[in-house]
Amino acid sequence: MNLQVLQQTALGVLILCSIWICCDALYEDQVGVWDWHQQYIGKVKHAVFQTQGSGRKRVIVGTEEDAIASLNLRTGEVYWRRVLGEGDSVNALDIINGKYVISLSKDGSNVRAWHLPDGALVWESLLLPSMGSVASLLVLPVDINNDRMNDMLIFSGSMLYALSCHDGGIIWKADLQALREDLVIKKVSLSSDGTLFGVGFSDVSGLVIVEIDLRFGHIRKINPVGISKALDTKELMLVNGVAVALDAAFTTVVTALIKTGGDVKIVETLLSDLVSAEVKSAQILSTTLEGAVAFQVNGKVVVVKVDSATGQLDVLEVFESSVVLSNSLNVVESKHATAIVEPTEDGGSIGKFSLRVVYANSWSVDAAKDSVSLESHRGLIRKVFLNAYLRTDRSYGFRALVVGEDDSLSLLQQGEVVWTREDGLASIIDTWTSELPLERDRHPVSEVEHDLADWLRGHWLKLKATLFLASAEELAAVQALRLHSSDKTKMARDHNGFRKLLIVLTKAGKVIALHTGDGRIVWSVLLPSLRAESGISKVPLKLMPWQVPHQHALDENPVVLVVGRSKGISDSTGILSWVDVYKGKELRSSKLNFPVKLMIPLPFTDTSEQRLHLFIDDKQKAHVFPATEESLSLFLKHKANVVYHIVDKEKGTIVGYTIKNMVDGITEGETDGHVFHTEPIWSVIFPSETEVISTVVTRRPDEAVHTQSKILGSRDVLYKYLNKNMIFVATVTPKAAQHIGSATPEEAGLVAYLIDTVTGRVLHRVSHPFMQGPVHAVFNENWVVYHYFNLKMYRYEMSVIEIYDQNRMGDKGVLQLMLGRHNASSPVSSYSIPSIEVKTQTYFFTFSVKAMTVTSTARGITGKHILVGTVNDQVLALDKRFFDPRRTVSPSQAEREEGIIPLTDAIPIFPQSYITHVHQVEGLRGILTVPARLESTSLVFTYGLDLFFTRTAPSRTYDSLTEDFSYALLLITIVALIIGIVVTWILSERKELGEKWK
Amino acid sequence: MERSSARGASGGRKWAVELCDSAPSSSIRDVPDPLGYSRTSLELEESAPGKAKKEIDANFKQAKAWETAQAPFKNLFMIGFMMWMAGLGLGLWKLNSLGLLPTHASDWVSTLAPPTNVEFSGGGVPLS
Repeated sequence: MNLQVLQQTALGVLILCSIWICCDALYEDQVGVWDWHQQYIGKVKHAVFQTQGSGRKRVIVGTEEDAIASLNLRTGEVYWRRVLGEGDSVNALDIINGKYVISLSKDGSNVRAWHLPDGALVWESLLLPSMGSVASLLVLPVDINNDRMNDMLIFSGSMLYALSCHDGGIIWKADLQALREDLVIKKVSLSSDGTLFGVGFSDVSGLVIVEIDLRFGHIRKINPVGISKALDTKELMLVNGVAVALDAAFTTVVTALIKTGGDVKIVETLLSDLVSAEVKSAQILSTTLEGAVAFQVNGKVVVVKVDSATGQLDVLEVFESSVVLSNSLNVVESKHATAIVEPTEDGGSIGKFSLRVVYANSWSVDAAKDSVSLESHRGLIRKVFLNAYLRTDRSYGFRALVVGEDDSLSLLQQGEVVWTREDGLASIIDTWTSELPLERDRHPVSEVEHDLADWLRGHWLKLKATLFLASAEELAAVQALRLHSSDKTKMARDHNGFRKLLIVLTKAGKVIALHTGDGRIVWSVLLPSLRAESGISKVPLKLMPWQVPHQHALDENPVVLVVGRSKGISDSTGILSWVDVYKGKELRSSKLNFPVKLMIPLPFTDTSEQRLHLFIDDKQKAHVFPATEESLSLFLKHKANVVYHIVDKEKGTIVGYTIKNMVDGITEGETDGHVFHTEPIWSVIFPSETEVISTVVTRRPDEAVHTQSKILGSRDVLYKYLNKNMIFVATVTPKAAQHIGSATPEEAGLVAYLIDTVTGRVLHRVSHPFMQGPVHAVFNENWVVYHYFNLKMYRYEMSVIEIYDQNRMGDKGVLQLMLGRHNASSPVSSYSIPSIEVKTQTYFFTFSVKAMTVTSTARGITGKHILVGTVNDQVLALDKRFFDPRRTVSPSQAEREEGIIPLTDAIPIFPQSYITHVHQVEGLRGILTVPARLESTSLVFTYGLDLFFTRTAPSRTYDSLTEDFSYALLLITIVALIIGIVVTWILSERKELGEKWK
Repeated sequence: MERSSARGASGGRKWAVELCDSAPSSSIRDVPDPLGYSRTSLELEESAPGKAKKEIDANFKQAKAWETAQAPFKNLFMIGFMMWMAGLGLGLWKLNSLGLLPTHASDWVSTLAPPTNVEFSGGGVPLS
């Protein structure tokens, strides 16, 4: 018994000791020294101002990234931010009583109230979801249930709820579908006499007007209005008791005058008469204007006044399609203002706009007019929200919140940009890092002197701090020096390779370069070739390095290639755009003749160091870029050894193709490249009734591997199977492909495959019954670590597979190796028969995972950490040594010396191993690791709604002194020692002389 | 044995006959004194008594003391020399037992660069 306890204690101590080495926590004063964190909210789609009252002025915004945030109106800073879950997108926002923010989300099924000052959730109400229609929120000017707080109305589709603003309780609900199945309510309005009207469509046959009792929710009357024409049921506007709709043929505007009591007067107006032109396309814009409706006709925006007494329509103004109108804002009782933003004569390309504010009753007179210039990389203005304030002279001034084409948010006031938020960074699609330019010119002497003085001062302060002699102010100065050292933000390459440019591509088609030192934006460009053109929008897809100069690093700049796609109905051809990484300019662009299905960077570069790329189109033709003679001859040389594969998740197949001859009769050039036929050579077909492809991962193409062998404690050697042409595929049973809980343990199962992508050979297959996805995996060197859910144990699990080569140099003795008589480093073909040995092990893991990757270092000597983006939006670093299939419960002496950690059932999580420390990367989507030049260090960039950058040293910084190493102390010690030596030498000389004279 | 080596050391010869018998002191030490003959007593008697005698005594004592004092060092030097001679083998054995000698295959493969692949393969899930 005692012995067992002793053993356990010993084991505990051993584990602790081994763990001690791998925990590298951060000290409090190191926070922010080499890491930075930025918060974004995403593209704004709803905004409500809170400028009344004595409190701080703020604007509440709801975004496309499912975030609700309160921003400081003066600076644009985030007061608070709440990110709703995935799929919980915001439908509407409002402020009640200057106290609560009400948000409606997930198609009208979630209603929440947030405390305005701090964003605390006050109440939450879950309503029955109503399928597929736009949900709206209407704050009523009346109190229905006498709780001294005005109440609100939520409606989506056929469901109508009256909710108490006090606690979110349902006062009444009305299911209109129970009355008429095809009824869809589009708008609700409260007439001046207190009657609630719901206006919607009943199928396409006509308008339906529903009269509802406000206090109890009884449906007083359903009034279907027959209309001779079929209606377009996409949009319906309600203007002062007049419903406005379009007919399905886009020829007629139908207006219906609603009155209490039931009689409805229909007025039909021909659209062509209104605009006095032939109508090709038309739609109602969802902008709510006081007494008017905005249409888009033939690509132009037409604002039409609606006469509430007669239903007559009257064109107020016609704009170009680039105009943006704000919703009407009630400034004072009868004055409703609307903002109109238009690019000035010379277009939006240089970012000049005119901002006009007009009152609804006097549309032709501008209440305010400013000309604003935004930076050119903001593109056009996409949305505008208007806010009014009372000037000192009792007149009204206006401020406008505008959303740019690049998803940025700016506040305009009196023709000036008050602040801008680069919120496009919340939706990063792809990232890459580039080296900074080499330091070319020497600094002038004065600068050096200045630097030297600063340097000395800094070290003197540091020294004082080390010796505990510094005062509080000096300590603060030391910390400030560390946080804002000019060294870290320089625009030149550093010796350790910590300074780099992070090139990111956002959803809006903008390329932004961030400095790794402090995260500032070095340049940004809205790619002209990816901007919407004649109504066809374009989507950016990928960012890849095109040219990375090494030999000509001094006189050539790196270039990135951005690949996009047209998003037309029939047109989905690819777009290529080349961007200079140092200048931030689009060098050239090309509209391809084919849609890009796959793009494969090849491992060859031409003499100008441009990387060859293979683009695969939808007809399985391979296009080689750049389209030069040189690249063609280079490609032809290697063609026989190039293979590619396509994973079809829907069909459950993986097919490998080989490149055949060139296609005749296609003119080669920038739009086609060199075109080749391809031919399928292998395929892996998964049985569709039992397996669905969940995850496919490959090794990084730029991964550095230091050694091919693993030396054990017993001095035996295991040879890693380092085949680059290998993929890891995880399949799950079709039922287990959905969310957890959709399948019983018996129905669920996961199969992991290792497949050689040159031959299609399945190298290894392991089946995990009772497991289900989602599967996250990382493939590095000769190992795969993957994460999934165990339905039987109801816990997450992580497994590791390590692959070793068995027939590699098996019989080679020491002598042969000494004499170099081996073929250990000679190239290996996938067609030779491999003989691999696979070791696996599985552990429990606490968290679900959002992203997974592994640290990467310059030469691959340093140990590895697996970086896990947890469900809490943090990044957890797990030592690879915990994922070692050779772990046993009680390792032998030799194994312990080797550093094998005793086996435990779960992967331990230490609070110190969170590399994001206090920060959260909201909406974490991806983690990018980049090697620094210093072998011990790996740079980590995490992105989601927020951005976080840090560096990590998995085996600690064994190759450099720490940042706070006191060089001054070292210098002073050396000088003191030298002085000591000289003094003692003189003294001894004197003494010796004295002795001799005696 | 001891004597012959001493003799060898002094003259570098195996044997010698001294024909002239003039100087008694030179060869006297090499041969044992005749029975009943005590050289020391004779020498003591011959040398002047008193002060001189005392000096010799002190000198002798000092020499002896030095000898005693130096003895351990001499010993140490000897051991050191011995160890140096034996050291090579011993060291090798020791290094080997510590695993510092590159006598295993594992010592030679860790620096070998990983093999490259003849073929290149790329691809994956098509862009949506």
